[in-house]
Amino acid sequence: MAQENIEKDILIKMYKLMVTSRFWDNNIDDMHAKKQMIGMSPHSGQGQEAIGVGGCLTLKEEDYMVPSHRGCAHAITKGLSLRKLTAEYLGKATGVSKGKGGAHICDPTHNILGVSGIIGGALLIATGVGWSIKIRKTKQVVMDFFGDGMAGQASFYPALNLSAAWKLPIIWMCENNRVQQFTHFEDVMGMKNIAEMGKPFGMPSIIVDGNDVMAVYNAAQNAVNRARNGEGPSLIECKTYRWRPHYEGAPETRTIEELLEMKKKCPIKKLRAYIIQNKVITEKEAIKIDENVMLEIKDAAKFALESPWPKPEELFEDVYV
Amino acid sequence: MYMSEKIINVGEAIHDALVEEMRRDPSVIILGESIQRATSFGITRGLLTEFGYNRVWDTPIAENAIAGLALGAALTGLRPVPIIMIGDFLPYAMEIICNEIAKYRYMFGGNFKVPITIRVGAQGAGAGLAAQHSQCLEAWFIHVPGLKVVYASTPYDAKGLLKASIRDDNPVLFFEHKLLGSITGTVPTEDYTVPIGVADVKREGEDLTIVAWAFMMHKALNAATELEKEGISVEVVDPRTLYPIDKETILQSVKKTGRLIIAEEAPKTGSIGAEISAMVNEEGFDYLDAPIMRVAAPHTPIPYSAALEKLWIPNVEDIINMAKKIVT
Ligand SMILES: Cc1ncc(C[n+]2csc(CCOP(=O)(O)OP(=O)(O)O)c2C)c(N)n1
Ligand SMILES: [Mg+2]
Repeated sequence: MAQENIEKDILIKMYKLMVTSRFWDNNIDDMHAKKQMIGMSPHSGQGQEAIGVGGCLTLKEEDYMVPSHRGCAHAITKGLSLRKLTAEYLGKATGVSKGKGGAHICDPTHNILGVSGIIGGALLIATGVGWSIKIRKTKQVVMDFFGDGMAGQASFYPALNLSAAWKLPIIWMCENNRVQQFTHFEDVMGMKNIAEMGKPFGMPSIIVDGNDVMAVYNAAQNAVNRARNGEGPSLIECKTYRWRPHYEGAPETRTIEELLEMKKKCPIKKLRAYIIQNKVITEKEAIKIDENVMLEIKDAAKFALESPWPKPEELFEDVYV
Repeated sequence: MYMSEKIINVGEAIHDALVEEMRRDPSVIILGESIQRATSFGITRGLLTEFGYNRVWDTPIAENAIAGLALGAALTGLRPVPIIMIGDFLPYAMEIICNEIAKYRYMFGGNFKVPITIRVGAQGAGAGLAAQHSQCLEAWFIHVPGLKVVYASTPYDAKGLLKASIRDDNPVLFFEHKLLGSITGTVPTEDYTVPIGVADVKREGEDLTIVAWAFMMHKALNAATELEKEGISVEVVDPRTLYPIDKETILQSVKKTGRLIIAEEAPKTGSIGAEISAMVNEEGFDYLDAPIMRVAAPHTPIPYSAALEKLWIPNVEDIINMAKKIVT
């Protein structure tokens, strides 16, 4: 995995953002367990950080991103503040949606559209965003993150079809962790790889190691370039593993052995080893990054805990403009 | 009345009804998302072991496929029980349910039977699951001729109605509320059904009728207990079936009390309460001593924040206040 083409500061950003996503995830699970966070159990993204980070680092500020429900690496990388994110999970007035959405986060200031609680619609929303970019001729692109489960939903076919037919500037980023709640990929899916589904539509469709952030980054960069040049959509299937149960507290359907095997392929350890070995940063510097990230996460948690609840009137706000 | 009884909760009642119907009739099959290896709400536990993969199917995350598979199977001799994991996912299946399942018998001149029971799991607010995992959508379906709509509030009713639904040769939507699962009650150990289309008077009273179903029914009972202390005697009617609704029981109750409140956990506009109110207005106007009132949710999506969600949900207090307003 020699990745000489990736600049040093990008590698350091990758490391910092993956660690941030991991620690943030860990911390929110903790806050949920301690009942500091009341509401929907977090759908942990631990183990899958390389995809959101590697993908979103190829986007410009003005590009759009449609996040999935799994983890927050994509949103954190695209610029969502940890304070607004944590406060939203806690249902506080200072959250990015004033506490109205919880885990269904968004951030229009960074062109992050919303996380939907419904598995399916996001694919078509992303298609609409790509279509709008084409109509408005803005040179933006849209990156859509979705799980392998979404590929079984009714929206998948029209999304692929239309994005290809109209050469829309879309990067389809599939996080294939081979589980769909308590169902395993092979139980219900007819194809071997999701990437195969892009081929009949003539779009570049590739499989990457979703635990190798540099591989994800390179694949995404190619796809973004194509999209920006008007050459149409690409499908990137990132093979990965979900470390935690579907949501915190949910039953686990995989064996302990499988889970232990997965953890050996930790995307953060992999990048850390690479950057230290290649003298991008020293071990000491890596530890310093970890410590600083921890402080940021603690700051965000404190901010969220001390933030006020939404006022009762807020219930009636925002139904209509 | 029954030889023996046991105390179980609503979740167990639904589980037991499924098991017993699958044992009784080999054409009963179930299908849905993540029901084989584990389940969120425990209702399908043990079914795979007893009935095997051919009668317990995991589907992809594709609710219209779940409904479509069920229709194809029902038209060819099976008696499927498709499961929609959470009520809010129903819209994905709406096309098949409302345009195919509901119309298949009529549009083809009675040539087909459509014995499907769509189990709609985990409706309702109160768990901090935000706008897309908390709605009660039963009102959407009473508007569609060809469908029956059932919504039980107790273990006895849930078990008996699910059995009746599965045995019915028509499509039935069987709704469940996520906060009802742990509510306990007695059920007979022997086979029984609760007929579709028959309401139940859960508490008798003189001054006011409250019609409420599912989780709201329990709030209505609590309100009735409180109101009793203040000298207001409340009759609580649980329709149990929302279509075809038992007009007779509701009208008889209103005839006795002269006052009616309908309480439900959904926005007031276009609600089941609106339908019941119109029906009583048309068929029981002379019985009324006060305007019919509704306790319902505000016309907003359901907010996530615990601070706001509790304001959205119609509660016991709201029912009590409304009762005091119309009983003077
Ligand atoms: C329409 C719809 N059906 C079912 C669900 C419940 N649900 C939420 S996430 C999920 C599994 C998603 O699997 P996948 O897309 O592979 O993403 P992963 O959770 O593995 O990251 C399911 C079934 C839902 N949210 N929306
Ligand atoms: Mg998955």
